[in-house]
Amino acid sequence: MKDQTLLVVDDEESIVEIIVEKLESKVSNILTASNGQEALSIIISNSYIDCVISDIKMPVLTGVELLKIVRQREIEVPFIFYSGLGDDEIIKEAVKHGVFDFISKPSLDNLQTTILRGLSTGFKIRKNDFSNNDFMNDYQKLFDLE
Amino acid sequence: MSQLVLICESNPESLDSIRKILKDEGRVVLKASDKKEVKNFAEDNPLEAVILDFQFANNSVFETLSYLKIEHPSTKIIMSYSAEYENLLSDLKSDEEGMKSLGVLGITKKPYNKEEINSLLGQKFNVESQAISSQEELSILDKEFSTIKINNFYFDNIAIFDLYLRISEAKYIKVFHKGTIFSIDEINRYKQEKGIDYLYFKTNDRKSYVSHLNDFLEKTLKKNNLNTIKALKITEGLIGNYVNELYFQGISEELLDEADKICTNTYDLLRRDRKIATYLDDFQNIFQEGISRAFLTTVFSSLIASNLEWANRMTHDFVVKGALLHDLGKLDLPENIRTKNLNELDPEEQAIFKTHPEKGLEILSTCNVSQQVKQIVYQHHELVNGEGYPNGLFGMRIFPLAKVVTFASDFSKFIYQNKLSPLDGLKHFIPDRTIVCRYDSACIKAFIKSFARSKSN
Repeated sequence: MKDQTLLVVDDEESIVEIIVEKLESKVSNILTASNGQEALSIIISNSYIDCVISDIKMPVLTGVELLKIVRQREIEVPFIFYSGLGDDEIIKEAVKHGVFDFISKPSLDNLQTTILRGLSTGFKIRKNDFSNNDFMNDYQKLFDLE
Repeated sequence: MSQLVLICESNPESLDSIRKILKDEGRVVLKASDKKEVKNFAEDNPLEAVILDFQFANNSVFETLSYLKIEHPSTKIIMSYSAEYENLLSDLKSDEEGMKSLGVLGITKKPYNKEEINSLLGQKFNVESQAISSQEELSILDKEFSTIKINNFYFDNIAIFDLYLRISEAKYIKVFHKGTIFSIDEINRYKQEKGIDYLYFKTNDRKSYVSHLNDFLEKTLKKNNLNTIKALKITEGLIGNYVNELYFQGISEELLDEADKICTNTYDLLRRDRKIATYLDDFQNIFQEGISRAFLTTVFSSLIASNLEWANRMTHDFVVKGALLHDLGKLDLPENIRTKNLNELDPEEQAIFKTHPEKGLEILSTCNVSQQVKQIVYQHHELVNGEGYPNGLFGMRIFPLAKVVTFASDFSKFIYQNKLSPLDGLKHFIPDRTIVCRYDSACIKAFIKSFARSKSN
C-alpha cells in the first residue's frame, strides 16, 4: 500500500463511516472532516493530502466554496464530489475550478475505484511524476523509429 | 445451395433413422437439442432445411417454428410427428394455407420414409417476397426522406418500415410495406436492372432503423465467425444514423437507451477483434462510400478508453456515451452557425458557437444521464494548455474523461479533413508540439497503444 492520504468531508457521520470502511484496507491514511472549514484547515496544514472526497452541501463552508479556496491557493489536489439530482447548477460552478470525478448519491457506485484513481493521480501530482504518460517511446516503437 | 440439414429430434431411434436417410443422400447433418441450439446453428450456418419433430424439446416446437419463420424464412421446414399425434396433425397435412401460415413446407408421419423426405426436400420453397406490384407514383418532399445505400443494406428478411425508390425530385414509389417479407435478391434486382444504388425511407422512421441496427449488430457480434469489416460497417451506419436522429429529433429517453446499447456493442466489438485499430487504419478503402466523423470520434474514444490503464467498463461506457452526445448543444445554435467550423465564422459568430458546450449541458440537465456524461459534453472543448473553452481550464482541472473525447474528436476531424489514415495522422500530429500540447498525454499514449497492440495481434 502506497503512503497515500485521503480526506473525507461530510457532515453526515454515517456516510463518512461507510467510505472509511470501504477504503481502510486499501488506503494507508484516511482523515475526516465534518464541514468545509475543518477540511480547509486540514488541507492547509497537511501538504500530503492526495485526494479529497466531499459532499457538496455542508454547513459553515460548502464543498464548492472549499474547492474554490483550495484552488486559489494553487493546491491541485483531486476533488471528488458526491452529486445527486438537482445539483447540476452547483456542479457547473464547481467544475470551473477543476473536479476530478463524481459519485452518485445515494448509490455510491464505483466509489472505491474512483477514489483509488484520485489518490493515484494526487500522488503523482505531489511527487511531480508523470513519466508513465510519456508516449514518445510507444510512438517510436510503433513506427520503428528507434 | 447448401446441403446442410438441421435435425430437431428427441427420440434416439428416429434420430438415427433420419440421420441415415439424409447422409445417404449426401447431406451434412447437424443436430439440435433445444431452441437455443437451433438459434445458434441457424445463425452460424446457411441451412437448406430443418426437420422439426412435433415433440421437440419439451413442446417448444411452435416457438422454434415461429423463430425460424421470422428470422430464416427461406429455410425449408419439415415437421414430423409420431402416431400418437395423428388426430392432431393429419388434417394439417392437406391444409396448404395452414402449413404456409406456420412456415412449414410439409408434414411427415414417423417412422421417417426416405422417398417422402427426399420428395419434400426436393420441393422448391419460395420466400414469398411481398413487393408491391403496383408502382404508383407518390409526390412527397425530398426532405422527408433518408437514404440507405443498397450495398450497406443490413436487414433480416422483414421490412421494418416502408421502403421507397426515388424516381425524380419529390417523386417516389413505395416498393415494400412495413412488416412484409422481402428478398435481398429483389433489392439487388433493382440495383442491377434499374441502376439504382439507394433505397429511401421516411426520416420519421429513422429511430426504428437505429434500433434495428443496434439489434442487428448485437446478433452479428454473437456469431462464432465474426466478419469484422461487416461489423464495422454496421457500426458506422448505426452511429451515423444515431447522430443524425439526435440532430433531427433532439434527445429522448429512447435515444438514450439506444446510446447504452451502442456502448455495449462497441465494447463487445473491440473485445471480439483486437485488430480493430488496423482495420480503422484502412478506413478509406473499407468505407469507400464515405464515413461519418461521428463514427470515428466514437470508435477512437472507445479505443482510448479501452487502453487507459486506469479505466474500467463503466468508464468506457461514460466515454462512448459522451462521444455520441458531445455536440448535442449545437441543436440550439442558429442553423447558419451550427453547420460551420469555428474558423469559418466571424468573431461574433464564434462567440455564439462557443456556447454550444454549455447549451449541451443545459439540454442534458433534464435527462436521466450521469454527471460524467454531462461533464464530457460540457468540457469537450477544454484544452490541456488552457486555450480551450468555455472556461479555459488547464491540465488537471479538466475532467479526465472529457479529455478522451477532446482528443478523439479533434484527431478524427484532422484526419477526415486531410484525408489521412489514423497512422499517417499520428505522424503529422505527434511531432508538432503546438498541437500535442493541447491534449492529455495519457490519452495520446492509450491511442498509440491501441494501434501497437493491433499490429502485434
